[in-house]
Amino acid sequence: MRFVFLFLSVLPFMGGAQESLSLLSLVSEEQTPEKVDAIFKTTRIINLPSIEQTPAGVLDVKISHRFGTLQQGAYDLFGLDNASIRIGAEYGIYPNLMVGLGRSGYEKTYDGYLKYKWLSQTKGNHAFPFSVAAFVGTSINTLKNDNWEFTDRATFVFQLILARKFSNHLSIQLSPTLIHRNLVATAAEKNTVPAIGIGGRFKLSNRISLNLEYTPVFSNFIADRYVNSFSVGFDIETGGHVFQLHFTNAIAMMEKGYFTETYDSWNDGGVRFGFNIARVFTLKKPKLDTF
Amino acid sequence: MRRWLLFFGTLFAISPIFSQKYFTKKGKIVFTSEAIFERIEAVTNEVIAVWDWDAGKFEFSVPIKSFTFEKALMQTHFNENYLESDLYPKAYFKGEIIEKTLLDSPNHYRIRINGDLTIHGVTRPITDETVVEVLPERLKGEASFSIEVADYQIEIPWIVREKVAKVVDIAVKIDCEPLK
Repeated sequence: MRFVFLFLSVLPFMGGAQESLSLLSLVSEEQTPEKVDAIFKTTRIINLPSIEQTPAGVLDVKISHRFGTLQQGAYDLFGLDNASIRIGAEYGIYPNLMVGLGRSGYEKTYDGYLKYKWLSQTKGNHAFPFSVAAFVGTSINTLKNDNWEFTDRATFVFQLILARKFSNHLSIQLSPTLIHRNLVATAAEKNTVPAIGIGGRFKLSNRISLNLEYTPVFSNFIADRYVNSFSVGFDIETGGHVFQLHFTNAIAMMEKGYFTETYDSWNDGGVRFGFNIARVFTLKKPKLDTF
Repeated sequence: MRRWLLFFGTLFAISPIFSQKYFTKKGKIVFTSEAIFERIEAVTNEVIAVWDWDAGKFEFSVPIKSFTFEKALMQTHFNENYLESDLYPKAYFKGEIIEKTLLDSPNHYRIRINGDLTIHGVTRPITDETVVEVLPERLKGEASFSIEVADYQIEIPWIVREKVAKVVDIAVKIDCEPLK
């Protein structure tokens, strides 16, 4: 009993001692889990849609080029005389939902997609280890061909995007993918093709990162002449722009193209230089409550 | 036993003499960068401030990621490239009142303060002067000062030198309640 009393009497002193340490320690902080953001610099790793969302109210215009293969040699300036172009734009409807549209020279294709991010990697208390998004898209080729119905021209893509920022420098993403082609060239090719997109980035400095991307397709679903796409490049960020410079064996810049119709091989110089330029425009500004 | 009781009882009785303290978790900071081509503003309402008025000491902390910008990309760059908020998640100010004058208007004091401001892991001394209103149930104040971005080892790349100012204005506003 006496000890209890003694202990209680000393309590106010203990409080006093703690006080000298820091005033801030007197106030408890809410321990809410903190979202891990900026897993990648922009919404594409190279060709592959990344986990990143275009912020709400922001328009991101993307101009992308893929040149001819390096093996074309000096006469074609190692492919630079031949460019395949995609012009696209993305817009953030809500913080978690974005829409994108594009037009590629490749098979005169229009592509459109929605991306929804529903889980964020967090740190702190009750941390969640990775971010999750879903990507749903379609593409329509508009080549002249009287034998094709409209539905024959359509392909669809469904992608689950799982990404984790392992450190400030290293982020890795896995994208299990299903591609459905309404029409395929031969009976040996499957209409629905399972594949996986694997991507990663390593930050070399705050504004430059090295990106890698590989998109293997499960064997026997596509014709033998097609290969898996592999790309390596750099993201260079300057204010409102992100420049992505890369080497890739894929010429198409929509999912059904680079996943299932890449025909050049790295082994025999079938590599192209390419770039994506992203420029953001803030269309809707949130009102800041300044003084 | 009775002697002990008396002894500790007295200590217990005098302990609440500890001075009056105030705190807030919703203090506001607005910072403004005024460059040739661009004016950038950011706001947070998540400033924690604790004041020990009688001892003349106070401390502030603010999570860097709580600053919001008009342009989302600027916010990303602010955290990723300039403040590196994963490495340095908070800014701190630890200060003391070096001079306190009671003004004509009731409960208003002109104070001169001196302290250490830590941003981006770099600590620099700051001196400022402002007016605070101190009531038993409230401590209110506003202050503003400017800092040189380079002092805190925050690099502004050459390419954005006309969009990001070298000197940034910081305005702080707090409305504290007693800390029990």
